[in-house]
Amino acid sequence: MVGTSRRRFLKAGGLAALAFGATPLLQACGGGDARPVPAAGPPLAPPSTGGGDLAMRIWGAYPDFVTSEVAAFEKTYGARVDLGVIAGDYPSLMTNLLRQGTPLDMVYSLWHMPQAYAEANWIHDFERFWAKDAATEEMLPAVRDALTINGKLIGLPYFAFVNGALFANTDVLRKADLEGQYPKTYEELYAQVRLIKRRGASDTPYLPSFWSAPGFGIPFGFIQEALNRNIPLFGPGGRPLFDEQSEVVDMLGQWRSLYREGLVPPGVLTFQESDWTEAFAKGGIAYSPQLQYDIKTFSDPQTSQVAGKIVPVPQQGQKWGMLHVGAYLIGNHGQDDATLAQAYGLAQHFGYRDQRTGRFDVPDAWAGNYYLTQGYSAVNNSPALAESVARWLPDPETNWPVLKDYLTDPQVATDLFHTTWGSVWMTYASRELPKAVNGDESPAAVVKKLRKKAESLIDEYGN
Amino acid sequence: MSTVTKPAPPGPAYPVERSTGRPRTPFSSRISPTRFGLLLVAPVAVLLVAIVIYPVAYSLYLSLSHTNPFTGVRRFAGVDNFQQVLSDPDFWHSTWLTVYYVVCVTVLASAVALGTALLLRERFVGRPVLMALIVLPWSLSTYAAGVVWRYIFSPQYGLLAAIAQQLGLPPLDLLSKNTAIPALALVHAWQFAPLGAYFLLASLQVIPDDLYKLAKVDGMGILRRFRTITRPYIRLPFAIYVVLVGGQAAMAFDLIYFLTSGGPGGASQTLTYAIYQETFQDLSFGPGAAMSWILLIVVTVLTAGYYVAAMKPGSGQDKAAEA
Repeated sequence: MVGTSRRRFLKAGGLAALAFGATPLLQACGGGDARPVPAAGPPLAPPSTGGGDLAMRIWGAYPDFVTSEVAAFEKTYGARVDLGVIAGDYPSLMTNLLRQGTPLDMVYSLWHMPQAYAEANWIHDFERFWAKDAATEEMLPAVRDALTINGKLIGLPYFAFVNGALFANTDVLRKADLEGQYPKTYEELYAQVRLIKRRGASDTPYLPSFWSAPGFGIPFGFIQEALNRNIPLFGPGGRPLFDEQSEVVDMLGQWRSLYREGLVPPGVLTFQESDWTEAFAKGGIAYSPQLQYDIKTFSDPQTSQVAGKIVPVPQQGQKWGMLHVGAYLIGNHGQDDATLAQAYGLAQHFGYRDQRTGRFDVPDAWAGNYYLTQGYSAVNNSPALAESVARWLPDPETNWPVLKDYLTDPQVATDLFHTTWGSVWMTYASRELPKAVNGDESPAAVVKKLRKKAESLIDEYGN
Repeated sequence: MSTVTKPAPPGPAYPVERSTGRPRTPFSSRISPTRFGLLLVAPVAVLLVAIVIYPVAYSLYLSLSHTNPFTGVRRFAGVDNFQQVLSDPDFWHSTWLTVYYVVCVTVLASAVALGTALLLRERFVGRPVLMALIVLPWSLSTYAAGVVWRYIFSPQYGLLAAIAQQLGLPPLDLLSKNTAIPALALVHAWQFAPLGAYFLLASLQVIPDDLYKLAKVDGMGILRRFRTITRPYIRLPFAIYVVLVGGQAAMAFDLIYFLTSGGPGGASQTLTYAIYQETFQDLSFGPGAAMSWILLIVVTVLTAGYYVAAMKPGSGQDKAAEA
């Protein structure tokens, strides 16, 4: 009796387990994670009535501000928004949430991710957004291009700034007797940091923030410096244009020299984002490419020991850095048109002119409060922003035009970022590039591996 | 003919509802004890299937599949993923780093745990305070520990940098390629050693003091007393702790993520970090799952082997008694 019972129980349990596991296994064998293509159709009308439950996910940048804006949206439009902050490796976590079909209506994303999301139909495009034409008309051309995939607008801009805007510490330059003598190219920059060290004005005069550890660190630094030097890296479809004979090998060789000569802070290869800002804000570093909006942090005496001494280096021919765009995306979880319209409304509130006020309420607030510049020139060049910036930027008459110039015609890495596999290549590059810097491998060997990886990804994913 | 009244059958002392005219038998009495027991464990069994067996089976399936969530490709791959992983030099580099890390963490944590336990077995002023203090690292979340140690390690603004500056030394970069693994192991051991200390202390406190007194009378030195009295008592808990700490070190991820992100240049990319990158950043589920299975097999074999070797018969508390 006892043996029979146990056997029967185990048998039943095994069958239950099989049934439990079989469904996803069979699904896995058949289909994949791609979702049905979102229905095309005419532009939707803005929701006329309130209501609706929306899920919004963000990374942890100023969550209090976002919470207050969500509350304002809920109050104005009568919707309920479940706002969640995702801590940790946001791109990976978000990718997996979307892959699993988690019902998310609006999410943050960096602009190198949506191509893959769009290919897999994990997101809705904005082709049915009622104000799409007006919004794209007002966007900075580079931002519009960044957010247009296969001819479709896939998101509204959350921010647009230059990644790797070059900032100078005038205090160190004055000590080195180089005040106002800003470099025009990377060669001049590297020559000048050597001179600064020789003159004893700084032990580590250069902080290349983007050599740091996270995935968006050193690959971004590599891409943007190559772009700025006009070294071709990727062609249409992500075809690699570099090899062991390319000038990028020499560029990596220069990075290696900077590292070997101790011109950069020790530990820079394992920096996290907070380390970049804290190290530069501590003083003693002459030049550093940084996130453009961080100049406000460096100008705040509460957070910076060098407030009033950090200025943007003018672009004199060669550009410094490349465009970085954040986007509001709409997840595709099979929602109906009414819910999609609500999600568009939320995206509009955050990423364009508010439907009722007709003003850039949230974008203006991001720019004015945090100097998080936006994808619209109407915001970035507004008198209100100029007035706000003049309160903290040293010598605004000189430096405000320089800051604005960074966003006038920035360089972009569209050929790589608009591939399905761009983020995978960058993850790989984040492991390999430091080896060229710290001497584990030769620059040529690393470049060869990076090319080979790009080719293998094209084989796997297609162009 | 006399009427004989039968005595009432024995029944429950508590009032019984008689809505059906018959006493209600409790459900547990209507089925066999075995069935009742199985019913009780059924929810747990279902839960285990859902959260252990199913994920494990699914990861086995993934390891045998070519899967690309972006392109929607899914097909049977046989052992391709295992072959690909085993022929990748980066995998062997990560394996070597994992072994190095596990050895460093295990040695450091075990030594500190044992030393602390032996210290805390003694009676001295401030012992209760010390006992409370040493648990602090264990009580910290790994994230908090990571933040604290970033501030200690940072060559720019860290504690060690400040000390080096005071001593006129160049700033130390303990997270550089040659020292990243030992530095991470130090943090891991710092956090994990208190558990071992408490674990061992519990065993040390059951050793009769008389044994040590007699040993002293017999002229045994401190090392011999440790070998003949202490060691047999702590052999089992020590072996369990080493297995625990070793296994935990082999699976370590969060500290590495917070402190080095596997860098610089893969210098701290242990297998778990490599699995994370492969699976969650690259979404290469097949190779990622294959690496997980290899790691699981290696850890199981090594820990079981160690445990069996450490617990060989012929040594134990009997020896202590003999001593």
